[in-house]
Order: sequence, then C-alpha cells, then structure tokens
Amino acid sequence: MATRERVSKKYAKRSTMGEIWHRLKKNKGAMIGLTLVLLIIAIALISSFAFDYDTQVINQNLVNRFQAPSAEHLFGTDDLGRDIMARVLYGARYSLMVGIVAVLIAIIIGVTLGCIAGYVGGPISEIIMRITDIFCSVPTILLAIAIVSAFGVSLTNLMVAVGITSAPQFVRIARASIMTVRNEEYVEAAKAIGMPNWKIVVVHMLPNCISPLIVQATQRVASAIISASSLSFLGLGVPQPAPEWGSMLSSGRNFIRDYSYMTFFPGLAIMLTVLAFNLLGDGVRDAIDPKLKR
Amino acid sequence: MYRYVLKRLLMLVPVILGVILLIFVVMDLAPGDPALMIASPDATEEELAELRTNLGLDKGIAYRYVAYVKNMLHGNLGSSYISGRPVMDVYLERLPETLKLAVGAVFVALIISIPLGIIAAVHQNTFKDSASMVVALIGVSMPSFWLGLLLMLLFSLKLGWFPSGGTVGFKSIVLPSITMGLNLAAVMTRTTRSSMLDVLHSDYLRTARAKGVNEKKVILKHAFKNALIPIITVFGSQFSYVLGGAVLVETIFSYPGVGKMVVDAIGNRDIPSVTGGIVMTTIIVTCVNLVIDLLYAYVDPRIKGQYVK
Repeated sequence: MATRERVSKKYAKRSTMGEIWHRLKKNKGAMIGLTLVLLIIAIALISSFAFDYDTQVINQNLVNRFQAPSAEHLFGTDDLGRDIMARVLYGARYSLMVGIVAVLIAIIIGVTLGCIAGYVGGPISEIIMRITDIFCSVPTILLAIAIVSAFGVSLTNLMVAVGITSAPQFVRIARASIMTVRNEEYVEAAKAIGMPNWKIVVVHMLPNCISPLIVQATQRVASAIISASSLSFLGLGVPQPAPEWGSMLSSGRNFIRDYSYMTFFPGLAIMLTVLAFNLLGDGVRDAIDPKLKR
Repeated sequence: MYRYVLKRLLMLVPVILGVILLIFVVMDLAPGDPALMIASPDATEEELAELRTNLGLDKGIAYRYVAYVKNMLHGNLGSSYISGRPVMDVYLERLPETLKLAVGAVFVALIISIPLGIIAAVHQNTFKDSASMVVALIGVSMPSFWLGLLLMLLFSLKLGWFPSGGTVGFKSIVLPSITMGLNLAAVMTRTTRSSMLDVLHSDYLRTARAKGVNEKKVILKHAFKNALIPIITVFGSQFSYVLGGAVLVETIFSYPGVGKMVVDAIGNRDIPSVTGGIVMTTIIVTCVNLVIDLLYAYVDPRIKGQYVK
C-alpha cells in the first residue's frame, strides 16, 4: 500500500512538472530566453578557460588603446588597451553571479519573514508587514545606494544591497501564499501529530504554494542584474579593474564621442542578458499559471 | 471620502517615520568621522571634540534620530558637510528640475504606451500585437543608463539636435525625459494591453456593440475607462522607479536634479545630503502613491461607493 502511494505521488509530481515543461516548450519566447540564458552561462564558464584574467582581461596595454573593432579585436579595445570582447565575455560571470546570488539572498530573507508572517499571523505579521511597507516605500535604487555607500563598495556588498532591496516582494508573496494554505486539512493534521511549526511550513506548506515564488524569483533575476549594473555604473558596484558591464559602460562614457563601441558592447550584453531572463521569467509564469498568460 | 483621505494621511506618518529611521540607521553605519570631514585639516583634538558635540555625534543614535525628526518638522535636514548649505534648501532648489523630467517622462510614456497597448490588445495574436510586445520587452530589458548614452550619442553628439547635458532651456529636458519615459512606456504598454484584454470580452461591451455603438467608441470610452484602474496602479508603482531612475539619468546628462545631488553627495561622503535626499524623495513617492490611490475612487465608481459606506 505504502509503495503504491509513493509511486502514485512520484507519478503525480512528475506529471505536474512534465506539464509545466510541456507548456514551457511550446512557448517560443521562453525557449529563446532559455537558450540565451544557457548560452550566457556557458560563456561565463568557458571565458575563464578562454581568456587569462591577468594578461587578457585586466592587464593594461597602452600601445593598443582605442583600437576600433577589427578581426584582431572584434569589439575593439578600451582606453587602457584591453580587449573589450574578452572583458565583456568574462564579465558575464559577474552579472550572472550578482543576479542569482542577490535573488537567493532575497529569497532567504523574504521567504523566511513571509512564512513567519503568514503562518503566525497576529501582531508579528503586522510588524513584519509594516517593516516591509517601509522598505517598499524607498525607491529600490536609492535604498541600494544607501546600503552600498554605508557598507563600502565591494562585490559582496553589492549582492547584499540588491538582495535586501528585492526581499520585500518575496515577503509579500510568501505571506500571501502561506495564508492560502494555512487552514488546509493537512496542516491541521500535521499540527495534531505534534510536528514542529517550522517543519510544517517547510515540509508541507511551502511545497504546496511555491509556484508564485518560483515565478517571482525567475523574473527578479533580470531586475537584480539591472540594479547591480546600475550601481556599478554609478561607481558603487564591482570595483575596477574587474570587467563588470555597468562599470565598463561608466568608463566608456567618457570617450563616447569618438569611441562609442566602448559603451555599445557592454550595454548590449546587459540588455541581452536581461532580455533572456525576462523572456524565461514570462514563460515560466505562463507555464506555471496559464490563467496569467496575457 | 474625507474620512478616508484623513485616515490614509494618518497612516502615512508611521511609514515616513520608519523610512527616516531606516535611512538614518543605514547611513549611520557609514564609515568615517564627519567631524574630520568638516573641520579644517589643522584642527586640534579639542576643536574636533567640540564639533562632534555640536553635531550631536557624542549622543546615541536614538537621540540623534529624534532630533533629526524634530528638525525635519521644522524644515531642517541638516547642513551639507561640503558646501555648508542647508540640505533642504539645496533639495528644494533642485526638485523642480527633477519634477520637470518626471513630468516629461510620464508624458512620453503615456503617448507611447496607451495607443500601443490598446492596438496590441484589440489586435490580439496578430503581427501588430507581437511587434508591440517585442518592442515593449526590449524596452523593459534595456538599462536606462545605456539607452541614455545611445540617445545622447545620436541626437546630441552626432546630430546636434539637443544638448548633451546641463539645463539649457526646454531642449535640455528632452533626452533625459525620453530616456526615463521609454522604460516606463515599455512597462505601461504591457499593462495597458493586459488590462484591455481583461475587459474586451466583457458582457457590457457586447451589449454596447449590440446597441450599435461604433467600435471606436466601444474601445475608447467603454473598454479603456474600465481598463484604467490596473494601469493607474502600475503607473503609481512605476513613479517610484521614475524618481529613483532620475539618479542614473541625471548622472548621464549632468542634469542638476535631486538624483545627481544624491550621487554627488555619495562621492563626497556628504552624509546629511545623502540622507536628506533619499528621505525627501521617498516622502514624495509615498505622497504620490497616496494621490494615485485616491484617483481610483475617481476612475471607478464602485470604489467610491465603498468609501462612502
């Protein structure tokens, strides 16, 4: 009997995932997005083997400065003679890492607080939600600027700042999701057998209401990448000489009149990466909840 | 309705106090001794200690927070460490410049997004719809600082139609407004389309058509007015991004608004200007959101009915 239950459970789970994957596959935009995301991940992984960081990515070579795009330097060279293509391709890892890690930080903070607010309710929920309201009131980029300028400019602080500013959305969604299943019978049953509260939430409730969180996480990566590159553009992100796209744009800006390619390629890289995650995020949303498709 | 407005205004107070606390605490963690920044390089230890006492730095953060709020109620956000000028004066000087950009951005966004969203919805699943959505998606994905640089390169440096920076009359707000407005337009186009699709198949539209109302009137008067509520909601939330995004756009175009004031202050580690700039911008965003909430009542009589009850 138990084996049969396990088998049917497994089958049911596969069936749901299979259905979502089937719907995702039918969505051309999502497939383009997924292909682009996989390509960018591949570039981020391969670039460390393809280019030597010290000699090709950050090393100055003033003899080669301001070379226009050519067969030798496909994207040209910058004001310090560095190959822009090597830097753009190597920079993929920064954008991906910041985008993904920041969203993970946001999930950890947001889902934990949202689950507490949704499950416990009462004054604790009120306090958490009012604090969330306060965080939501401050324009995201300004809050991130405040955090980075207080803690100092570094890759870690950049990820933390973007993560913290993204967390309030997860608090709201997690709370609303937990509240929809709070009075389900299986929750009552778990309480009745004396299961600890945290286990009820993590093992039983979250898996039953995780879809909106997955959708939010996928879509949030795109905005996290834009936020991070915006901060780097303002000189508050990944410090030089690391090849972060936002900071490359910022330094290229000073030479835009004569060497516009210095700003063109890093900007294009940001746009394509964000576009890829937006396409994938929209596709995941439509696949998980087809009612939202519009 | 008046009671509702009053209630909403009262609810703003704890949020604003919370925002001030949040920014105040975060900025208090910034490294460096403000007294050292303000004092002359040859200041003695006694002079530094006196300056710290005058600035209240020898007191706890709770004391300084209460003092900050009290001063703020009197229109005092402290003085800039660099220029020595009151932060409120500098902010109020620059605010109209940023508001010009915000109004320009909203104008650009509305004239693009509303027609494009309506056309996409009316021609759902056709080439026009797909093209509009692809354009909107690219617009959402394009970082404003890159778009701004591209616009500057083409229209300012190559064609010479607009200045590349500063405030030289009306022309100087065109490119920054378009930069901010195109991002907003992309988001609004998606919302307008989605919102129109929700109402396009409603029974009351079928009734209007059956009565012989012409299609243009059905779409613009009957459908669009009902689709406006979600559009206004998203617009409200996006206004926060517009004012936040001003930080980037004003930096690109060297435009002397409040965004640039905050960025310059960060570069100079001018904490009172950073704190004051962020707090004031947040208060404005919160007030705009309140106004937008109240606009719902005007647009949707059902919501007005709830208020009356």
